[in-house]
Amino acid sequence: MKQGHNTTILIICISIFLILIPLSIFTGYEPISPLRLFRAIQQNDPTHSALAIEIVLFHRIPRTLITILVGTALSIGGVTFQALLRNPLATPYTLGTSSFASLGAYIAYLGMNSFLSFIPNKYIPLSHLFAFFFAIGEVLLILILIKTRPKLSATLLLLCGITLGMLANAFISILRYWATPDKLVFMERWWFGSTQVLGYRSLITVSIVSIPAFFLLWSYSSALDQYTFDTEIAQARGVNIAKLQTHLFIIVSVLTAVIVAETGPIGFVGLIVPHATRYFVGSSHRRVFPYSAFIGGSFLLFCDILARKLFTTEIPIGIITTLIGVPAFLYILFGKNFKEWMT
Amino acid sequence: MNPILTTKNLSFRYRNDEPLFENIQFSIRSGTLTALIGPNGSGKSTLLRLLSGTITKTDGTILLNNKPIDLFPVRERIQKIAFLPQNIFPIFPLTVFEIVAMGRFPRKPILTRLNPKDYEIIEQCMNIMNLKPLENRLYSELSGGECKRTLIASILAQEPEVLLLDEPLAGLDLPHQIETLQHLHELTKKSYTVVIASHEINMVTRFAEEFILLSSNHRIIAHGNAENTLTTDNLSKAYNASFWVGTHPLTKGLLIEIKQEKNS
Repeated sequence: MKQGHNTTILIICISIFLILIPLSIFTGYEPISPLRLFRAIQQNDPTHSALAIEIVLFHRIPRTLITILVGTALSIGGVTFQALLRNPLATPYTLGTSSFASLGAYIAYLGMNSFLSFIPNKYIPLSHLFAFFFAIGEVLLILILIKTRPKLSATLLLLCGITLGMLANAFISILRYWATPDKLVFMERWWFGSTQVLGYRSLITVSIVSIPAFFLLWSYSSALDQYTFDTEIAQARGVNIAKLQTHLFIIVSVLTAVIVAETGPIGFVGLIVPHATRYFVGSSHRRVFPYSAFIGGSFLLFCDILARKLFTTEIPIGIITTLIGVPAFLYILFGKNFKEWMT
Repeated sequence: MNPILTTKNLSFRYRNDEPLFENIQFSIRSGTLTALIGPNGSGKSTLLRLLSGTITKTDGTILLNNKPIDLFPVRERIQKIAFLPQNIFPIFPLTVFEIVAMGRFPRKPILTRLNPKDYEIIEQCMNIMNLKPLENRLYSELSGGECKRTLIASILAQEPEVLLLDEPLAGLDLPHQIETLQHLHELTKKSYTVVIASHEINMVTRFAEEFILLSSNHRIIAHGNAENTLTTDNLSKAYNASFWVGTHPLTKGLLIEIKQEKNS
């Protein structure tokens, strides 16, 4: 890929952000125009200006930022898992982390005001806490299971994760069957995923995990190139396959656990963005990581704006990502460059 | 010439399996083209993997430049020995240039970009294998011969001392087999040591200086030049079949044919 080509893509990415971020801040149920915000700040009148400023400061800005970060995290997670599992259909959810997170959240919803009420939930909602620890529990379980095998293979990891995910889904079905309608509403909401946040707690949590994870994963770029080219050559060139697999699995799983715990299982970003990115910038991970972060962040933000704007009431972002993602993905699959990216 | 790779009492078995090799001894001279010959399942690939370090020996010693290979830091070892497996399984599309550039991996400290010197070496390796015109083509769109050339260029970019190639001639037509062997032979003149595993005996005898003949029960039957190694007796022992060894009417080299068994 030529240098000029890279710069063009970079400029496009940055300008997309410069358009989307203000758009996101001024889109929502409460109409706030830049003019209204400007007046509100100028007036400095606590009764009139407070609402606009509060909405922008504690709803719109954190929501915009967390949406970008979640899009970024799911995309780089998808890039890594597709490489790690040597499977173009892999997503950050493939190994069951999101299913276990959902199971944890559902248990929390069921027990919120009854058998789990002894757990303090002043700072972090119980559902987020449970989602995170269930997801981490599954990761540990996989790690223990694969340690019993002499050799870790991508297929083994894949089957192990998918099977455990199915187990979690079976438990989820039981819980949904038992749940009362008022609890089911919570569960449905969770299942669709949402980046609607209040204040900065979620944003801080997601940043603490996803920003270091990005740089960590990026540092594995060359090794991942070798690994996806051929595992045996990679090994002969000094890549420690087992170590690489374990490290990447842990990094992405923790990342996914935190993201899903905070926003629910937002689908499709982790599958389509890596492919779209490779379609634009090639397969070298040194480029794929930063560009998929850009594309993933802007794609999810775009979907979130649509989710707020498309109908009079907000619809879940997970539905939008799929609605836009499927045609875009099919275009890449059946478009003229199909042969180029599918070997 | 001094041996670059030597094995002493080399033994190996796959986990929980019967031993594959027991007390294998041989040495590979520096700057030669050595061919591993033997029937399917005789352990040619396993032997190359052992030498490359992608699998670990059960017992014995492998010496690289008269020093046990285990004593080399991994990084130093992989800079000296390059290995090309028989089949490779890339999952994403890469261009010829990208694949050759990936050969620089063992030479690059982590998190560094390719510098002008790397580009120079990549360029050189592509030129050696006549790949310059294909630079921006995708690997998935290349012919079998072009693929092999790309892969050989890629491991050349590692600047190794020893190249271990598993079946580099498999799937190539006659002119491309010759071409590949010529390339490998020329590399030995540039002080590279090349070890290949191959089934193309007649083709290999035209270029290789040294032969290691493995038998179906994983023993080294003979080791040396073509005339002394690839004899009727040795070949019959190795393959459990009758062979006919003569002189090629045109090249005056060896001509090896299997004797047709009578229908019973």
